[in-house]
Amino acid sequence: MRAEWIKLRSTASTHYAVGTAALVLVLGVAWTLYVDSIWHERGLRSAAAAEEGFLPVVQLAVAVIGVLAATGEYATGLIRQTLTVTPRRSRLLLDKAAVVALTAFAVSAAVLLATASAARLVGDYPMAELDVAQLLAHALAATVLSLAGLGLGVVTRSTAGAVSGVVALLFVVPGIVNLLPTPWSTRIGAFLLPNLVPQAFLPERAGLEPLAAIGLLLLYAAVPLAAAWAVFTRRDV
Amino acid sequence: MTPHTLRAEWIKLRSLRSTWLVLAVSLGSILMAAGLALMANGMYDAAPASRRDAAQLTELEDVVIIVPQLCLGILGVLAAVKDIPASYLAVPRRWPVLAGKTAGIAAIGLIVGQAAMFGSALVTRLVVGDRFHLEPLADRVPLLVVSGLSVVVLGLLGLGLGTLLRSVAACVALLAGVLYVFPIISFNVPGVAGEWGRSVMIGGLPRLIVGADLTNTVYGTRLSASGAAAVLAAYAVVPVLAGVWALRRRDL
Amino acid sequence: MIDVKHLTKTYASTTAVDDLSFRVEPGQVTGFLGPNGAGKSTTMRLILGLATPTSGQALVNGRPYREAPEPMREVGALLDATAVHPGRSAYNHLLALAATHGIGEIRVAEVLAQVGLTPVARKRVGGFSLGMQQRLGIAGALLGDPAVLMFDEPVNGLDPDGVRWIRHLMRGLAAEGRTILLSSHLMSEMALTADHLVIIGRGRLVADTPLSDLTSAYPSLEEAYLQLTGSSVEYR
Ligand SMILES: Nc1ncnc2c1ncn2[C@@H]1O[C@H](COP(=O)(O)OP(=O)(O)OP(=O)(O)O)[C@@H](O)[C@H]1O
Ligand SMILES: [Mg+2]
Repeated sequence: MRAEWIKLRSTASTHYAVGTAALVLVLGVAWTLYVDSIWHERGLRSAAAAEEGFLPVVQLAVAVIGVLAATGEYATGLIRQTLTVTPRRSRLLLDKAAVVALTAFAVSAAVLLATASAARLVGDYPMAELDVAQLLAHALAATVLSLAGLGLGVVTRSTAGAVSGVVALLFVVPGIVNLLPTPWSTRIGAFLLPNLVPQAFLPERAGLEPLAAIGLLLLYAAVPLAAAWAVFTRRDV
Repeated sequence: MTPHTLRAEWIKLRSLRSTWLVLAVSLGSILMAAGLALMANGMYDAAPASRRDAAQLTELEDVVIIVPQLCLGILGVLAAVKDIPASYLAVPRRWPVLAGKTAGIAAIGLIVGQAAMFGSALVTRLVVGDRFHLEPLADRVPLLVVSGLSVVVLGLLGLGLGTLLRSVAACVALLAGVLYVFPIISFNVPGVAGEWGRSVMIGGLPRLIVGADLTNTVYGTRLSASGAAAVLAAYAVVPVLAGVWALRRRDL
Repeated sequence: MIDVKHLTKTYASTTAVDDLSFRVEPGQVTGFLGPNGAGKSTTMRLILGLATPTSGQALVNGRPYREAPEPMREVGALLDATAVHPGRSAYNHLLALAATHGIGEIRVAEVLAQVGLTPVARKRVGGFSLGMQQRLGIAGALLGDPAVLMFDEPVNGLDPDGVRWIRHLMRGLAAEGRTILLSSHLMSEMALTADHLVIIGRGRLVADTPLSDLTSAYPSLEEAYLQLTGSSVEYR
């Protein structure tokens, strides 16, 4: 577990991904200042808060951390050495998942909370109340995405494939479903990853119970990880 | 670029399984359109006759285009990032290598883009029959051609980014950024900046170029047709030129 | 002929090559020696235009490598044998390189046979052993039938048979009047292969001398090498 933490921490790409997520804070402040400068003259009744607008950036960055935790080792051949040192593969995968999850949650929660607080500090245009629970739920969704990335990375052993998989979960499939005729788009849409956190917090508009939504969210991490476990414990590297 | 480097890059592209996989998925968008059309049919037929007239279906070729766009982008990224120093030993001036890749990706993008667009448009209409009031195919030809060209643009964008950044993860994430994240952000930005942002997103440019209606879309209309064409071209040209610049000056 | 003139390459915190000058003459095998991190690979990459020198220059046949009209017909090089796309077959890898110079499939088949890879030519390189990858890299260097050849640790990973094969290949190529620059850490092998030696340490020239001069002044090449480089093994 410690070894996995050191590997993740010492990789340049992790730093870039965390840096990108952190950039959101800067962009969020810029966004807030901009909206502030125009909302009076335009008579905006409300506008999205910064953390809401930049949520996809955080999600994507954190997902890439998860993917690279797996495919980075395959690309460099480090995986063989890792498996020599830690031959118990289930344990290794579990350790990796734990480290990725903790990092992803810490990074996304920190960035989202910091951006949200900064936005409310510098901005006074009308935006939604700061809802810590909801932000933490978004961080949880980002964590789920990074675990899905880890799972896909182990299964595909391909950075391009795994990042595309995450992009499909996060954007492509929801985008396509969104354009279907109406009863279908909302019915299927209720089960898609980006819509789960909103459903947990806006029960009146939801197709799913809040608990069901959160449960389904966790499944999005569990299924790829289970697939990864099934493949990883059987396959030659 | 000489015919020789062009042929070399073509051999490199065709000799990789990932190229064929990416092509298969790209053209899978046609099957996807067929599947979505079948679903829509089921819904239409189940609805009471009185509500059928109001039933609407987005032209499915506009929906599935994202698949070849992303695929060509990834193909471009892989062609750039996975190349080896030996290529530049054989062609030490370096830029002809990128020129050869540009030609190869553009050619593949051209064929795949047009095939995916016209294929999915045709298949949608065949499956749907006279159920929904889809725009007739003949009226959409210019839009289909230009949308198909946007697939080339994505391929070259991926190629340029790959040459510049040399990281598959970063480049694929950036492609997703250009296709999804930036649009989402710009839709949330109020005021002039948001309006401009919505106007330069790749998804809206083909409609701007052919002068199609954008009122029911999320895209902005700040650009003229020629302005939109210039922006679309810039998405391809700027990253590739930046790639040439980076390639000239760095150690391999 | 390779002519290295006051070549210097500085990375952020290290000087990998430091005012290095030497010439590699045709018709003989020139061994390129130095401790780990001495700058051998960097020098070769500078000669081949893969890296840009901080100062100084390297000429191949009288001009910088990048200005050669048909570089593969002038110079062949094996640098990092593992730098190949794992998904491509050996044949396609070589075919793509050959195509850059209009070299045909017959020549590709020829060099594959020469390095003994014909039976696995259609297999993905990702499944190759290190020795097979070295052979593939050597095949790539030979493609253009060049007069100047550079090999960075080609013996690495080869079986005893392969080691002897390389020795004969190098000697044969030199006997044909070609210029050969060969780096290796195997002193016993180098003593059997090289005619001339260039030894560097910490990026600087330590010795540029015929092999016979060293072997007559010291008990063995290994002894000579260790004494000459003894002061330059600490890393920077
Ligand atoms: N791209 C680079 N960036 C930073 N430093 C580098 C780079 N390439 C080489 N170096 C440094 O330059 C020095 C020389 O490295 P080089 O690979 O040329 O040594 P070498 O003689 O080939 O060693 P070996 O026998 O181990 O192959 C080393 O200190 C190395 O760390
Ligand atoms: Mg070396």
